[in-house]
Amino acid sequence: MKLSPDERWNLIDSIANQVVTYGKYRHTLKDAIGELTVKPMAGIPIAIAVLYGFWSVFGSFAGTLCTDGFFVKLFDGYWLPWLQEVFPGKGSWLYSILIDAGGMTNGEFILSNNCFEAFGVLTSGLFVAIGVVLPAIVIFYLMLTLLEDIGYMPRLAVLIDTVLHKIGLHGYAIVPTILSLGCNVPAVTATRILETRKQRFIMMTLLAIFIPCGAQLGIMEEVIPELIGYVLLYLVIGYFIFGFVLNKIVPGKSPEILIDVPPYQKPMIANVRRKLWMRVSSFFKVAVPFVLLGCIIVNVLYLVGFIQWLGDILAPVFVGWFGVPKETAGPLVAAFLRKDLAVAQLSVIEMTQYQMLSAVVLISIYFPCVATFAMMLKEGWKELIGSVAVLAVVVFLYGGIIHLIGKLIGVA
Amino acid sequence: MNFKVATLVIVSILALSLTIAADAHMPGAKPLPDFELTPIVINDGETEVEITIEDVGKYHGDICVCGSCAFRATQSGISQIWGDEIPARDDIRIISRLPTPGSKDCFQYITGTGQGLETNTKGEYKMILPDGTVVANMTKKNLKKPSKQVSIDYFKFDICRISTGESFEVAVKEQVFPDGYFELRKKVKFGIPENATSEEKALFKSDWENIRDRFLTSPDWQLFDGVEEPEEENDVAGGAIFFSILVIASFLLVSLMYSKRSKE
Amino acid sequence: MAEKNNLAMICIAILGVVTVAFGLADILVSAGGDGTGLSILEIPGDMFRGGWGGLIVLFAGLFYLSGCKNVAEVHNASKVAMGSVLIWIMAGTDIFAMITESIPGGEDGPWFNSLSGFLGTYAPPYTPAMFLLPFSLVVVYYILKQERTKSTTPP
Repeated sequence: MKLSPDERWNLIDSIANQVVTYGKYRHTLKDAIGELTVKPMAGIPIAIAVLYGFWSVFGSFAGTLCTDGFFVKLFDGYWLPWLQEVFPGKGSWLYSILIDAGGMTNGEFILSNNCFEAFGVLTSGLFVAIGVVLPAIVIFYLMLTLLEDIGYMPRLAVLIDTVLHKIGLHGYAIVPTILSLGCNVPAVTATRILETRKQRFIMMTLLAIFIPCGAQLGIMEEVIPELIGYVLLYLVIGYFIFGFVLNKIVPGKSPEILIDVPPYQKPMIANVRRKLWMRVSSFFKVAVPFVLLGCIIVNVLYLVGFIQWLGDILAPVFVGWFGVPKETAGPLVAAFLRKDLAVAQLSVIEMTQYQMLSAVVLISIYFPCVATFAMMLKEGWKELIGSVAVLAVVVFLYGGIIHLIGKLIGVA
Repeated sequence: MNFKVATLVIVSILALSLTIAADAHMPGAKPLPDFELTPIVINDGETEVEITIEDVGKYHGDICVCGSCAFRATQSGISQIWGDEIPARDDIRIISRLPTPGSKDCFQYITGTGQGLETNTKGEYKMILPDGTVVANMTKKNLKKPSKQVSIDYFKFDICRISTGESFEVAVKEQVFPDGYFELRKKVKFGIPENATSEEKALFKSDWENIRDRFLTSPDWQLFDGVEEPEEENDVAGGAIFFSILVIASFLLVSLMYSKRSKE
Repeated sequence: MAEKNNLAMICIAILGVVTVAFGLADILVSAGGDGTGLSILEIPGDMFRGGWGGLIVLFAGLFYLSGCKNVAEVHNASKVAMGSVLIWIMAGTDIFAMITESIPGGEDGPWFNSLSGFLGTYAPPYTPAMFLLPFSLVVVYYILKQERTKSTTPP
């Protein structure tokens, strides 16, 4: 049976009349709230509040409840003393690598009394991975997943679109940026959300340099809670300044995009659970081996005297240019393997508050950890070399600027 | 000429009075702050005796830094060793590192070993300097020499319970004294290494007053090492009320959500 | 109806003014560096809870004030609702912080807190946002009720 065009339209109309209900569109409260969150005047205060909630819950759960409340007690009070007791060969190189690097006082081997100082693979390595990073990552990804599933993230992307255009990116660059606060590795993959090579390069470089990962944040929360705000402030400022510069000097296009903003909705528990599991498990597949490997390599480098040698060579740069003690050379080498571990190492070096601030910022902007490095290599070796070149310049310049600021305000 | 002589005489008298006074008291020191110090209660034989800081001040001449420090240290040491018990005077032994008249008078008054004190029983009081020197002759003149060396290390006192051998070292916290206080004291009181300027004298006076006030008004844990800050008592009732409200509100919220879902 | 709206406007405006005052107090106190308290009210002095948090309470107050004029209109209602959401974020995080503090037994204590220690964590003083929380709930209840009435009323 063949229908004429008129008959077809009639048939469509009759089907539509049966299945479609027509009504008057009414602007609901949900719609109005949705609009409010993308208008800068209202959206920015809301974004500030959401970020506050994010960090407050992060600190309370990861810091107060899990790490300080239980894991520090478990690792420092039971796990470390037990291992120190049962593992044979105190002071031997194997003992130093696996259990406790300790310290020598008047020729006597002194055991460490906490996992931040022991630096053994089975003590500090496991403590950092399980006691500090695990709770930080779980709560971070839980909060991120909730914000995504509620529908807030696309609104944040719209809100920040104008600002990010100034540095050659667009609103959706907020996704790799925030993901990077969890772990830089999936964030490097998430840069594919951006359209051009220029945008991907800028994003990758910025997140490798200026975004501290969840592990680092967890350690900072534990070791330097009073300075974390200032560290983040320095990093945010650097993110925008160097993003702006990169946008000017890197050739290529930064096209406009259309962002589809879905309505706010209730998150589905099953989805949240699945996403959370996927992210946390993939993070741990990457992170735990690197934390443990990092401990081994750093301890070996210390034992063979490489770190001491490097510290001596770099001392003029560290002391004169960056204004930090030369002992920070060790943590900087360690930072290539795991930045979180490096921040923990800094905590046991004697220095002023401003030196600590400078050192933590330096560690954050210094080379991406080796896992991120590998991920960037996967995205293209040219990009990697470019990023590394930018990084070298940024570390040198920014480190010097921070020292200069400290000198000017009389704290360095 | 007469005017010049008169001025010289007045200045000399003033200077002399300052030197004498600086040895133990602080001329022109501001009045004592408002403070509430409980007395030290001890058993003098069968009699229960209450010793107040005012009694000690009266015996010494005034309430000075060393006197108030010694009073608080004894009080703190007694509470650490005896707890709520009332110690017998003859069960108390005090070993002080501090060779100053103010602290000496205070300890002697408490132990009943000072001159002119009529007590039923006597405790023990010894002055042993940080280098181990035992000072037997505690006259003002004899104390002047060791007093020049006084630093934070001298502000340590052992309060002992003779009958059980228990003892507690009360050591004043470093932060009780401002930076450079002891150097300034040397300059102002003894002219070491040189005489103090009028600014330095004024600074010393104000530091002295602040330290005295600190000993009179601050809690033990702020003054002495090893004394733990008392934990604040939990307001269990207030917390329980708020916690109950939280639980009820959460329960209502969850039940509201479920009822809404089942309606849908 | 108009009378009811007027009453709602006055109530929300008062809530807005009080919220703004609390926000400003938070910011000023944290700028001074030391926290302060009045009996059961505690104004935090740190930059995170006092400074950043105070800014959010201030924003919440401004949302209330900007939306109070005609709360029956959906855009104004959304502003008022958003003011309440900001208060919930503040109070919610404060309560969450209390919960996380109340469970562990402390550095040298047992694994879990004692009952008195647990309940003691929830004792006063409380932050301004906690005092504003019940009022913000009432405001949102009113707005949602209004919204429901509108949606059931034929156009």
